[in-house]
Amino acid sequence: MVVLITSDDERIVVEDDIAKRSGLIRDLLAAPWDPKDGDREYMGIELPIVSSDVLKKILEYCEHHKEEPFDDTYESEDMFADIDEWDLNFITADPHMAFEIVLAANYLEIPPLVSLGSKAVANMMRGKDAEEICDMFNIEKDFEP
Amino acid sequence: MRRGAKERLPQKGIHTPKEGTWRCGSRSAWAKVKAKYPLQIQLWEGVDLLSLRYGYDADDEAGRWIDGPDDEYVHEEENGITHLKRPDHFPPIHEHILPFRCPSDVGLNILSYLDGPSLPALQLVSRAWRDTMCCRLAQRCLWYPLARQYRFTPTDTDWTRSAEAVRQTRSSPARRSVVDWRRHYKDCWNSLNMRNRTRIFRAVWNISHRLGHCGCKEGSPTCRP
Repeated sequence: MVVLITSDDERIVVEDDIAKRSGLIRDLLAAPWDPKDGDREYMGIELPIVSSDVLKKILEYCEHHKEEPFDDTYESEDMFADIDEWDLNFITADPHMAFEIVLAANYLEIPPLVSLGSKAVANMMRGKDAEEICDMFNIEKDFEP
Repeated sequence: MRRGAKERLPQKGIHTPKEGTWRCGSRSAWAKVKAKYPLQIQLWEGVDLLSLRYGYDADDEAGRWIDGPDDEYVHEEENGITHLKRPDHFPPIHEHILPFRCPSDVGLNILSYLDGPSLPALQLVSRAWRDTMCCRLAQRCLWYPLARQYRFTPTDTDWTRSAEAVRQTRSSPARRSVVDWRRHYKDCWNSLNMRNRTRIFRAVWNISHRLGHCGCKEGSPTCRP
């Protein structure tokens, strides 16, 4: 088991197989550990930029895909490829969290989730004009053509 | 009071001081500096560091420092020249980021999933975004894939001279790296010939989609004819 410590100091216990879907955690667990530094499970892995809400969503995704082989490529060629129905429901359930998931997945090195979240965010932006984008991301428009 | 200063100060809504008096900077702040560093550093004989004008010294009756725009300290205009700006006022740094705060590669990855009509609209959002979308990374990650998506790059079946020129550019790493793919996309978008080419490819894609050869499912956000 692996203990993950979120930015809001919540300790979440995860199975190794699920945690290792993250390239970052996989590398950390593969690194040599000196027992003098303490109990590894007790010490946990700090994820300072991931909140507990977002981490739980990401772990939900990892648990669903834990049987699949690792995919370390940030694909761009198959942008028209189909999205799995479960993935589609997962990422569209809370559109406002999609961007947070992309950032956290990028930090945790989970390429398929980065791609999935990027598609969802892009879908939110598609077809909108500059004014609507400014409103969506709370940007001050400082450019006039 | 010199002519330039008279014109500038009322516009900025700043109280005009009497001529020849120092008025900018903080007297108390300078006093703290003097108290902290009591030793006067001799630069050369008879001249020490503290005797030089920094623009903070409010006691120097001969000085003519005035407030300029944006809290810059400028010297009064003399003989038509405004000179002696304080050399420690840096302009604010603007970050070269996308409007949403994320690494550039993630941001460009998101933008790479947008379609052609959406991207030009996003360039109008802000200067920062426009700069980012014109950078070298965006050329490779954004505009080149978009040109390919709209079939603005030749395939093996294109045998014309113009297609061969584009194909040779793509095959040369040195030339490919300096191509302005954003402009290429824009030129192709404005070309009726190229738009007709896209239309034909889409028609073929539609047939393929209806026959179930594209592998998409209805309702998928990335499934689009």
